Amino acid sequence: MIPDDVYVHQTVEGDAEAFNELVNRHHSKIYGLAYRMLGNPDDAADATQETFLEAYKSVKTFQFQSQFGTWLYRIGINTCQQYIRKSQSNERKLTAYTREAEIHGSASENDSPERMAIQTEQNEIVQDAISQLPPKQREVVTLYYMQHLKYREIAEILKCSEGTVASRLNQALKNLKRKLSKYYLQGGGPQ
Amino acid sequence: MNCEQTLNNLPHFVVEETPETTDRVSAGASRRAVLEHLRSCPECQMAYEALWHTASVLESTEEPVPPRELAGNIQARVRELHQRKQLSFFANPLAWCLNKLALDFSPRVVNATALILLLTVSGFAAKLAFFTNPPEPDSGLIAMKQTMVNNIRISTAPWAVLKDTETRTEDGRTSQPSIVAVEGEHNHFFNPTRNSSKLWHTETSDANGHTGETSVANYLQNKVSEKLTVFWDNIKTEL
Repeated sequence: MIPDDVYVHQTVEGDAEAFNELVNRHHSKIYGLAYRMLGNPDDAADATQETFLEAYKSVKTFQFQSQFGTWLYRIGINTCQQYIRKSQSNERKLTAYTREAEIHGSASENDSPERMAIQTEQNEIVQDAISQLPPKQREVVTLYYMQHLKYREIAEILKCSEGTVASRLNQALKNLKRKLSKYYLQGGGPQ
Repeated sequence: MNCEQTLNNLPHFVVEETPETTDRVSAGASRRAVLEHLRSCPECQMAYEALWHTASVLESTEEPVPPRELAGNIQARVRELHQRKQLSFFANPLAWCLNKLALDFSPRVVNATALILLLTVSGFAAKLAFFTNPPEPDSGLIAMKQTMVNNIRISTAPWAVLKDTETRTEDGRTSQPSIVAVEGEHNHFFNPTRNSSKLWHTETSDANGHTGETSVANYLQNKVSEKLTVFWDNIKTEL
């Protein structure tokens, strides 16, 4: 597999298709981040597009000191923060992730309707709980649990220490425990 | 380690970081100490389990799936940006028009066309601004303009020149006005500057074609008399 840096070099030299290969590789992750941060699919798609366009415009400033994905996450986080600041309205939270999941077939065909329903319900509950977190805790939870990044990588993206990441995650988990306890105490958790 | 210290540090032990990292970020609470307390404290065990479940729920949550067209849309916008980057600044309006017309040309073609258009328009504008001769009036207009100029000269200048030049004879009759060109006097006929003696003489020609110099005073007198005659004739005609 060709490393991202090769495509970045080609993009800097003027090859737009090389950057489009990077779009193919990373757009799902950035969309996932934006969805968890913003809470609705429309804003998430817009923020994802803005993230990549911003990355394309400023690709010459990429220093190759970190991974391209980390750099992209940083732009994604900044874009989402701008969205959160811009749209103070919380009404658009959690629209139809269910609908999106059905349309795009996120669940496999082998999944039973019951399992799909449980999974959808869990997604909604978790997303609702995450959306109620303060933005900084939301970032850390999303990057750690949804994007599966390590403390070191999150600290690099957010430009803070690992201790700060741990502290935010600590607070986020305590908050989420209160919000999600009803869910898993009712036995609706994953089997 | 007491319950409060344990509960404060519990989340660090739920996440799947390396033990070294956990020890580093857990503010002095070592993994061993927390685990020892958990073994002996049922309340903290329950809290740990609750956190563990929370983390499990988060980890098992499905990744949202992006819309199918998202990647394609982004790639199209990237191509558009790339194309725009290759366009010269003056080619942007033309590119915008072509885009509106759904015509797709390579940036080189658009740049070249825009440059040709720009040069043509610039040349045309420069010609209009600097190289256009004023339209020539027909002879009637020229004659009318000349007449107006002459009338103005006749109607204003003579009085300015002739004033104070009338002299009265001893028997009370006024003598013919004689024009005296006074250096520095402003009038429409003559406004000489100092040290410009050449202007005080003009070339004349007699009936036989002989040329010679005459004084400006005589010349002006003749010209004024001639124009005065025309002027009064005009007035008489109009009356």
